[in-house]
Amino acid sequence: MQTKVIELRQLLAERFTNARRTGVSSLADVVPSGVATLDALLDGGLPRGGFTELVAEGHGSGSAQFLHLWLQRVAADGRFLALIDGVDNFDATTEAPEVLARLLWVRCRKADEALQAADILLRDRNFPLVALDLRMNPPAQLRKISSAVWHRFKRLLEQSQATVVVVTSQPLVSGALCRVRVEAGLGLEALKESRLENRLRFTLLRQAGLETGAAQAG
Amino acid sequence: MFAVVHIPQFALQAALRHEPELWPKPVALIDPEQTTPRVFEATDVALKSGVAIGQTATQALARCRDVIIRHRSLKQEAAATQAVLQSADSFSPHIEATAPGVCTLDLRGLTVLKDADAAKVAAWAARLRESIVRLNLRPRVGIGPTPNVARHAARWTETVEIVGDARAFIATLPVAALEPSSDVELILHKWGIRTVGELIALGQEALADRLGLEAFALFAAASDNSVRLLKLVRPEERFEESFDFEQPVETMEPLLFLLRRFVDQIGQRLETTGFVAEMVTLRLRLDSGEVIERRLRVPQPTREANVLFRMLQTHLETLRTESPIVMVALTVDPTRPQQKQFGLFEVALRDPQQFQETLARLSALVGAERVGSPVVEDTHRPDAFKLVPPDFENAPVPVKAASLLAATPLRRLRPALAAQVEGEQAPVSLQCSLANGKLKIAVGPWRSSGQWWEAGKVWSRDEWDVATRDGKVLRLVKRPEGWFVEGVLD
Repeated sequence: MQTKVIELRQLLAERFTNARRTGVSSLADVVPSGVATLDALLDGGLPRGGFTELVAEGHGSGSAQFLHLWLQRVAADGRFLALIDGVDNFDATTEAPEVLARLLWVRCRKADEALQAADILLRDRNFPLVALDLRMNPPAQLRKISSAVWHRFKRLLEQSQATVVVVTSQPLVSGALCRVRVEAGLGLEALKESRLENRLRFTLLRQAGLETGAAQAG
Repeated sequence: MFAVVHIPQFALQAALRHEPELWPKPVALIDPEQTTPRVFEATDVALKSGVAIGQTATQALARCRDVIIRHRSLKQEAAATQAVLQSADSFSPHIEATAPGVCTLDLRGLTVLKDADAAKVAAWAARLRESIVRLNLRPRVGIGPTPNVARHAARWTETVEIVGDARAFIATLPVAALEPSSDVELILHKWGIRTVGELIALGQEALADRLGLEAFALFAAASDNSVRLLKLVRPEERFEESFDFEQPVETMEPLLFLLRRFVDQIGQRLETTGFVAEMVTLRLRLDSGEVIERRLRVPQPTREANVLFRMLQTHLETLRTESPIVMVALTVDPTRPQQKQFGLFEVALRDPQQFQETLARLSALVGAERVGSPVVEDTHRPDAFKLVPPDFENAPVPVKAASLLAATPLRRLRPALAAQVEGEQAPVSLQCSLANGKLKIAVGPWRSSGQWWEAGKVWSRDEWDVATRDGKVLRLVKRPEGWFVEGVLD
């Protein structure tokens, strides 16, 4: 009897690869993002095996701050992060050397170059954590991205179980496990603050398997 | 007891080591260094087709139009010699590079042959021969009580010859085995002397009276009991293979085909000597005379041919040459394999080899200078960093996640965006592709300069943090050449 239950679970897992994420997610299926409010919103952290899309629409949205916070958390956990920088605007000089030593930075010029780099990185199972930053890429470049690209990446992620965060200026990634809007309204006064974690506000726009919600955190 | 590895037609064997498929074909080897290059070694098929030693290349082609002419390569002979010595060194620590294609091993004291059991010796000799066959060579192995007897045994066998009764063995050899001069050989032939036994029966004194000093040399060569001291050598810890193409190569396939054979050969040699590859150097000589050299570090030293080949293949995919390739050489820097104990909670790369491949592919895509781990430069100039190859396995773990930021990170614009700024004391309005119009607030300036002591590197700047009326926060910089937007707060 127990054997049949195990077989049934395996069959369900194969048929519905994302099904186990729709209910109560286990801590093994998520990765801490370094921002407590976002982790709380996403039931523990960023999901493995799929995309988390971070939509940063307004000015001073805090998306760059989030990337730095995630990198710091990754480094503190003794792991490493691959950052595919869509138009080469990551501010490396603000980070400590021991944090930067755990970063693989790919400085792309255009969105299609960044997607090719992502294709290469996602095929390498050495990288369980990847950030694809398309926030500053012109909308004209982003519009050219075919949804087939995201579908192909999704298949790769299901195999590698990597965690990928895509930062965009507008909803873009079809098939993302989660889509979260980030806002911070950072003004000049933010330049004096050493830590902006508390300024970041996240709104869950979409989560695979759940109804479109408006859960908010931060 | 001694063993001799003899490689007949050594120059030809060395030349065809990376093209073993040519052995069943008529191939003649000429020495391009000679004024009139003549055939000095040829395959059996070529000899049967009418090609003879001493012919010019034209004469050889006239006799056999299908004959393939190959040039002698001293580099390939040196590589083959090293390969044989390295292989022999794994069987006995006392080896001598007796002559080109001849290696003598001193077997005295080897525990594996201590009881001199014939079956054990035969199996040992077969293993020795097999190890050299794997180098794409066709060796003959002789074992005897003296170096001289072992050498005769190696010369006059097809595979392996183990001499028990040295005197009887020497006696059965033809006189030609002693390598007499042509005059003496003719005289001995006229006398009806065919074997070494018949020659020895004449007596050294009597023969010296008739043939002169050469008789002593013949008797020395026929000696079955004199043991000379070997000039011991140590094989070099250098693994190199090279090949000169007959026709310049324009596509990658022939190059990869040959490199595959190189890494197979070097992998064998590394395995024999107990080394692993630490650094691989690929050298290509172009038809234009230019030499391209690439040094590739093996992330996790290995002797796996597949891994080394994949590394080279990935690199070659990114390589474009101005003219065809005429020579390829591969050199491996060896190191001793290291065993590493991983920590229980250590997060290491799953596959360091694949990681290096990925880095190579990314470098090919965006440029090598745009992939890596950033290192902040030792200067006060903002946004000064360089990228270095990642070394995740040795990266320190930060003690504390919080309060690590040196400043609020911006989104940097590289290159900086040229801007038109108005304002006497402070920027009042801004015109650029990011923002246009009056500024809400401007904070600054923060003045900095540096490297005034180095000509051409001096920099100075006034930084302003400004907020536009629509809510953007920009880092505005005034340099001697004008105003620029260098960053955006996001």
